[in-house]
Amino acid sequence: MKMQKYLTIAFVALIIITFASFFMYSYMYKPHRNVVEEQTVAVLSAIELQNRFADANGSLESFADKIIEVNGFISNVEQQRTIIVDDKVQIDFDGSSEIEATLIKGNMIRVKGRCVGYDDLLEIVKIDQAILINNY
Amino acid sequence: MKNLKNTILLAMITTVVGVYTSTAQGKYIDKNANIVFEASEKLFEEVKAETESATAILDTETNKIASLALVKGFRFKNSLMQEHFNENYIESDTYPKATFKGKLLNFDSSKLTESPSDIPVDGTLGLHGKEKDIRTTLSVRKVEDAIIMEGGFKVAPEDFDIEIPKLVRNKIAKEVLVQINFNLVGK
Repeated sequence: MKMQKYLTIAFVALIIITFASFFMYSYMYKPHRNVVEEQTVAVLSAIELQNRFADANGSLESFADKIIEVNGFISNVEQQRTIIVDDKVQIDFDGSSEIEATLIKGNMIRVKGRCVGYDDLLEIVKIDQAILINNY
Repeated sequence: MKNLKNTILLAMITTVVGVYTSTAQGKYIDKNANIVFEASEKLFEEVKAETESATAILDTETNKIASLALVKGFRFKNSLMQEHFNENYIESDTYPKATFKGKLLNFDSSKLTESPSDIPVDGTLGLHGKEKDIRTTLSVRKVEDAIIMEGGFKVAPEDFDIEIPKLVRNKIAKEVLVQINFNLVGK
Protein backbone atom coordinates (compact mmCIF):
# COMPACT_ATOMS: atom_id res chain seq x y z
CA MET A 1 0.00 0.00 0.00
CA LYS A 2 2.80 2.39 0.96
CA MET A 3 4.62 1.50 -2.23
CA GLN A 4 1.63 2.50 -4.29
CA LYS A 5 1.46 5.88 -2.56
CA TYR A 6 5.09 6.57 -3.39
CA LEU A 7 4.53 5.58 -6.97
CA THR A 8 1.56 7.96 -7.27
CA ILE A 9 3.59 10.85 -5.85
CA ALA A 10 6.47 10.06 -8.19
CA PHE A 11 4.12 9.90 -11.12
CA VAL A 12 2.45 13.22 -10.32
CA ALA A 13 5.86 14.85 -9.78
CA LEU A 14 7.03 13.56 -13.13
CA ILE A 15 4.02 15.05 -14.90
CA ILE A 16 4.54 18.41 -13.18
CA ILE A 17 8.23 18.47 -14.07
CA THR A 18 7.48 17.57 -17.68
CA PHE A 19 4.94 20.37 -17.99
CA ALA A 20 7.14 22.89 -16.20
CA SER A 21 10.13 22.16 -18.39
CA PHE A 22 7.96 22.26 -21.48
CA PHE A 23 6.71 25.75 -20.58
CA MET A 24 10.21 26.89 -19.62
CA TYR A 25 11.54 25.65 -22.92
CA SER A 26 8.82 27.26 -25.02
CA TYR A 27 9.35 30.54 -23.15
CA MET A 28 13.11 30.51 -23.57
CA TYR A 29 13.05 29.37 -27.17
CA LYS A 30 9.92 31.03 -28.43
CA PRO A 31 9.91 31.65 -32.17
CA HIS A 32 10.89 34.95 -33.78
CA ARG A 33 8.20 37.37 -34.89
CA ASN A 34 6.35 36.35 -37.98
CA VAL A 35 5.89 39.31 -40.32
CA VAL A 36 3.42 37.40 -42.50
CA GLU A 37 1.03 36.73 -39.63
CA GLU A 38 1.41 39.92 -37.65
CA GLN A 39 -1.10 42.75 -38.03
CA THR A 40 -0.01 45.86 -39.91
CA VAL A 41 -0.18 48.97 -37.72
CA ALA A 42 -0.06 51.48 -40.57
CA VAL A 43 -0.21 51.72 -44.36
CA LEU A 44 1.60 54.68 -45.88
CA SER A 45 3.74 55.85 -48.77
CA ALA A 46 7.52 55.76 -48.62
CA ILE A 47 7.69 59.56 -48.79
CA GLU A 48 5.18 59.98 -45.99
CA LEU A 49 7.06 57.50 -43.82
CA GLN A 50 10.39 59.24 -44.31
CA ASN A 51 8.81 62.63 -43.56
CA ARG A 52 7.39 61.34 -40.29
CA PHE A 53 10.83 60.27 -39.16
CA ALA A 54 12.73 63.23 -40.59
CA ASP A 55 10.60 66.10 -39.19
CA ALA A 56 8.69 65.15 -36.11
CA ASN A 57 11.00 64.74 -33.16
CA GLY A 58 8.10 63.87 -30.89
CA SER A 59 6.85 60.83 -32.76
CA LEU A 60 10.39 60.01 -33.81
CA GLU A 61 10.46 56.32 -33.12
CA SER A 62 6.75 55.69 -33.28
CA PHE A 63 7.02 53.19 -36.10
CA ALA A 64 10.28 51.59 -35.00
CA ASP A 65 9.94 47.85 -34.54
CA LYS A 66 6.36 47.94 -35.86
CA ILE A 67 4.98 46.03 -38.81
CA ILE A 68 3.98 48.45 -41.55
CA GLU A 69 2.98 48.46 -45.19
CA VAL A 70 4.75 50.84 -47.53
CA ASN A 71 4.15 51.71 -51.16
CA GLY A 72 6.09 53.68 -53.74
CA PHE A 73 8.23 53.47 -56.84
CA ILE A 74 11.45 51.48 -56.89
CA SER A 75 14.17 54.08 -57.34
CA ASN A 76 17.05 51.64 -57.15
CA VAL A 77 17.66 47.92 -57.00
CA GLU A 78 20.75 47.40 -54.86
CA GLN A 79 22.76 44.23 -54.65
CA GLN A 80 21.42 41.16 -52.85
CA ARG A 81 17.79 41.54 -51.86
CA THR A 82 17.65 45.23 -51.20
CA ILE A 83 15.70 47.96 -52.94
CA ILE A 84 15.31 51.69 -52.40
CA VAL A 85 11.82 53.12 -52.73
CA ASP A 86 11.43 56.76 -53.82
CA ASP A 87 14.98 57.42 -52.50
CA LYS A 88 13.42 57.53 -49.04
CA VAL A 89 13.05 53.99 -47.75
CA GLN A 90 15.41 51.03 -47.90
CA ILE A 91 13.73 47.66 -47.99
CA ASP A 92 15.53 44.44 -47.18
CA PHE A 93 13.54 41.42 -48.21
CA ASP A 94 13.19 38.39 -46.04
CA GLY A 95 15.88 35.83 -46.78
CA SER A 96 13.46 33.04 -47.58
CA SER A 97 11.40 34.69 -50.30
CA GLU A 98 12.40 34.48 -53.95
CA ILE A 99 11.70 37.83 -55.54
CA GLU A 100 14.83 39.40 -57.01
CA ALA A 101 14.08 38.80 -60.69
CA THR A 102 10.76 40.61 -60.63
CA LEU A 103 11.99 43.82 -59.04
CA ILE A 104 12.61 46.41 -61.70
CA LYS A 105 13.55 50.06 -61.27
CA GLY A 106 10.47 52.23 -61.82
CA ASN A 107 7.99 49.57 -60.73
CA MET A 108 5.33 50.55 -58.25
CA ILE A 109 5.41 48.22 -55.30
CA ARG A 110 3.77 47.56 -51.98
CA VAL A 111 5.57 45.67 -49.24
CA LYS A 112 4.95 44.62 -45.69
CA GLY A 113 7.85 44.54 -43.28
CA ARG A 114 9.31 45.54 -39.97
CA CYS A 115 10.35 49.17 -39.61
CA VAL A 116 13.86 49.18 -38.11
CA GLY A 117 14.27 52.93 -37.72
CA TYR A 118 15.71 56.07 -39.26
CA ASP A 119 19.19 56.18 -40.69
CA ASP A 120 20.29 59.81 -40.47
CA LEU A 121 23.53 59.22 -42.39
CA LEU A 122 21.63 58.46 -45.59
CA GLU A 123 18.40 60.11 -44.42
CA ILE A 124 16.37 57.03 -45.20
CA VAL A 125 14.06 54.79 -43.22
CA LYS A 126 15.07 51.13 -43.08
CA ILE A 127 12.67 48.22 -43.26
CA ASP A 128 13.72 44.61 -42.93
CA GLN A 129 12.12 41.14 -43.07
CA ALA A 130 9.96 42.50 -45.87
CA ILE A 131 7.56 40.50 -47.97
CA LEU A 132 6.27 41.60 -51.34
CA ILE A 133 2.55 42.28 -51.54
CA ASN A 134 2.21 43.95 -54.93
CA ASN A 135 4.58 44.65 -57.77
CA TYR A 136 3.36 46.33 -60.93
CA MET B 1 30.44 87.55 -79.23
CA LYS B 2 27.38 85.57 -78.24
CA ASN B 3 29.21 82.46 -79.25
CA LEU B 4 32.11 83.30 -76.94
CA LYS B 5 29.68 83.92 -74.08
CA ASN B 6 28.11 80.55 -74.66
CA THR B 7 31.50 78.86 -74.75
CA ILE B 8 32.50 80.46 -71.45
CA LEU B 9 29.17 79.49 -69.92
CA LEU B 10 29.55 75.94 -71.18
CA ALA B 11 33.09 75.78 -69.80
CA MET B 12 31.85 77.02 -66.43
CA ILE B 13 29.05 74.49 -66.33
CA THR B 14 31.43 71.70 -67.28
CA THR B 15 33.80 72.74 -64.49
CA VAL B 16 31.03 72.87 -61.91
CA VAL B 17 29.60 69.53 -62.99
CA GLY B 18 33.11 68.09 -63.14
CA VAL B 19 33.88 69.21 -59.58
CA TYR B 20 30.62 67.73 -58.35
CA THR B 21 31.16 64.37 -60.00
CA SER B 22 34.72 64.18 -58.77
CA THR B 23 33.64 64.78 -55.17
CA ALA B 24 30.80 62.33 -55.65
CA GLN B 25 33.30 59.74 -56.80
CA GLY B 26 35.16 60.11 -53.53
CA LYS B 27 32.25 58.62 -51.63
CA TYR B 28 31.93 54.90 -51.16
CA ILE B 29 28.75 53.60 -49.59
CA ASP B 30 27.55 50.28 -48.24
CA LYS B 31 23.85 50.17 -47.43
CA ASN B 32 23.97 46.54 -46.36
CA ALA B 33 26.98 46.70 -44.12
CA ASN B 34 27.50 43.55 -42.09
CA ILE B 35 28.25 43.83 -38.37
CA VAL B 36 28.45 40.91 -35.97
CA PHE B 37 29.03 41.03 -32.25
CA GLU B 38 29.65 38.13 -29.97
CA ALA B 39 29.91 37.79 -26.20
CA SER B 40 29.68 34.02 -25.86
CA GLU B 41 31.10 32.11 -22.94
CA LYS B 42 32.21 28.51 -23.22
CA LEU B 43 29.62 25.91 -22.20
CA PHE B 44 26.80 28.46 -22.33
CA GLU B 45 24.41 29.40 -25.06
CA GLU B 46 25.82 31.49 -27.87
CA VAL B 47 25.42 35.24 -27.35
CA LYS B 48 25.77 36.54 -30.85
CA ALA B 49 23.90 38.93 -33.11
CA GLU B 50 24.23 40.09 -36.66
CA THR B 51 22.93 42.87 -38.84
CA GLU B 52 23.01 43.02 -42.62
CA SER B 53 21.47 46.45 -42.88
CA ALA B 54 23.92 48.87 -41.32
CA THR B 55 25.23 51.84 -43.28
CA ALA B 56 28.86 52.67 -43.92
CA ILE B 57 30.25 55.65 -45.82
CA LEU B 58 33.89 56.22 -46.72
CA ASP B 59 35.11 59.49 -48.15
CA THR B 60 38.33 58.69 -49.99
CA GLU B 61 39.29 62.36 -50.18
CA THR B 62 39.27 63.05 -46.46
CA ASN B 63 39.69 59.34 -45.49
CA LYS B 64 36.83 59.78 -43.05
CA ILE B 65 34.59 56.86 -42.33
CA ALA B 66 31.13 56.92 -40.80
CA SER B 67 28.92 54.01 -39.95
CA LEU B 68 25.48 53.70 -38.47
CA ALA B 69 23.70 50.57 -37.28
CA LEU B 70 20.13 50.58 -36.08
CA VAL B 71 20.21 48.53 -32.90
CA LYS B 72 16.87 46.90 -33.62
CA GLY B 73 18.37 45.55 -36.82
CA PHE B 74 20.59 43.14 -34.87
CA ARG B 75 19.20 39.64 -34.92
CA PHE B 76 19.91 36.85 -32.47
CA LYS B 77 19.25 33.17 -32.93
CA ASN B 78 17.26 33.18 -29.71
CA SER B 79 14.32 35.58 -29.84
CA LEU B 80 14.08 35.95 -26.05
CA MET B 81 17.74 36.96 -25.95
CA GLN B 82 17.01 39.52 -28.66
CA GLU B 83 14.10 40.86 -26.63
CA HIS B 84 16.19 41.16 -23.46
CA PHE B 85 19.04 42.76 -25.38
CA ASN B 86 16.71 45.43 -26.77
CA GLU B 87 14.64 46.07 -23.66
CA ASN B 88 17.00 45.57 -20.73
CA TYR B 89 20.58 46.02 -21.90
CA ILE B 90 20.92 48.31 -24.88
CA GLU B 91 17.50 50.00 -24.39
CA SER B 92 16.92 50.44 -28.10
CA ASP B 93 13.74 52.47 -27.70
CA THR B 94 15.73 55.23 -26.00
CA TYR B 95 19.00 54.68 -27.88
CA PRO B 96 18.08 53.38 -31.32
CA LYS B 97 21.47 53.91 -32.97
CA ALA B 98 25.02 52.69 -32.76
CA THR B 99 27.46 54.92 -34.60
CA PHE B 100 31.10 54.94 -35.52
CA LYS B 101 32.92 58.02 -36.75
CA GLY B 102 36.56 57.82 -37.56
CA LYS B 103 39.46 58.27 -39.87
CA LEU B 104 41.70 55.91 -41.79
CA LEU B 105 45.34 56.73 -41.10
CA ASN B 106 48.04 56.67 -43.78
CA PHE B 107 45.44 55.68 -46.31
CA ASP B 108 45.50 56.33 -50.03
CA SER B 109 42.61 54.77 -51.90
CA SER B 110 44.41 55.03 -55.24
CA LYS B 111 47.10 52.65 -53.97
CA LEU B 112 44.65 49.92 -53.02
CA THR B 113 45.03 46.56 -54.69
CA GLU B 114 43.25 43.23 -54.57
CA SER B 115 45.63 41.99 -51.94
CA PRO B 116 44.57 43.34 -48.56
CA SER B 117 46.57 45.98 -46.74
CA ASP B 118 46.32 46.74 -43.03
CA ILE B 119 45.06 50.22 -42.33
CA PRO B 120 44.95 51.71 -38.82
CA VAL B 121 41.70 53.43 -37.89
CA ASP B 122 41.04 55.97 -35.19
CA GLY B 123 37.51 56.78 -34.19
CA THR B 124 34.66 56.98 -31.73
CA LEU B 125 32.02 54.38 -31.12
CA GLY B 126 28.75 55.70 -29.78
CA LEU B 127 25.97 53.62 -28.31
CA HIS B 128 23.63 53.59 -25.34
CA GLY B 129 24.18 57.35 -25.04
CA LYS B 130 27.90 56.93 -24.36
CA GLU B 131 31.01 57.31 -26.47
CA LYS B 132 34.31 55.51 -26.51
CA ASP B 133 37.48 55.94 -28.52
CA ILE B 134 38.36 52.96 -30.64
CA ARG B 135 41.67 52.23 -32.29
CA THR B 136 41.96 49.21 -34.49
CA THR B 137 43.35 47.92 -37.76
CA LEU B 138 41.22 47.06 -40.73
CA SER B 139 42.09 44.88 -43.65
CA VAL B 140 41.28 46.88 -46.78
CA ARG B 141 41.31 45.79 -50.41
CA LYS B 142 39.82 46.78 -53.70
CA VAL B 143 37.79 44.41 -55.83
CA GLU B 144 36.70 45.95 -59.13
CA ASP B 145 34.87 49.14 -58.12
CA ALA B 146 34.27 48.21 -54.52
CA ILE B 147 36.40 48.81 -51.44
CA ILE B 148 36.16 45.93 -49.00
CA MET B 149 36.93 46.45 -45.33
CA GLU B 150 37.14 43.76 -42.71
CA GLY B 151 38.18 43.85 -39.12
CA GLY B 152 37.13 43.94 -35.55
CA PHE B 153 37.66 45.32 -32.11
CA LYS B 154 36.73 44.58 -28.53
CA VAL B 155 34.56 46.61 -26.20
CA ALA B 156 33.24 46.06 -22.71
CA PRO B 157 29.58 46.58 -21.73
CA GLU B 158 30.58 48.81 -18.79
CA ASP B 159 32.29 51.23 -21.19
CA PHE B 160 28.79 52.14 -22.30
CA ASP B 161 27.11 51.93 -18.90
CA ILE B 162 25.37 48.70 -19.80
CA GLU B 163 24.74 46.74 -16.67
CA ILE B 164 24.66 42.95 -16.84
CA PRO B 165 22.56 41.43 -14.01
CA LYS B 166 24.33 39.04 -11.63
CA LEU B 167 22.11 36.16 -12.68
CA VAL B 168 23.48 36.04 -16.21
CA ARG B 169 26.91 37.56 -15.63
CA ASN B 170 28.81 34.33 -16.08
CA LYS B 171 26.96 33.55 -19.30
CA ILE B 172 28.02 36.76 -21.03
CA ALA B 173 31.66 37.45 -21.83
CA LYS B 174 33.34 40.46 -20.22
CA GLU B 175 34.58 41.56 -23.61
CA VAL B 176 32.37 41.82 -26.63
CA LEU B 177 33.99 41.14 -29.97
CA VAL B 178 32.64 43.32 -32.76
CA GLN B 179 33.38 42.32 -36.33
CA ILE B 180 32.67 44.40 -39.37
CA ASN B 181 32.50 43.57 -43.03
CA PHE B 182 31.91 46.49 -45.37
CA ASN B 183 31.51 46.27 -49.10
CA LEU B 184 31.68 49.90 -50.15
CA VAL B 185 30.60 50.84 -53.64
CA GLY B 186 31.54 54.11 -55.31
CA LYS B 187 28.74 56.61 -55.74
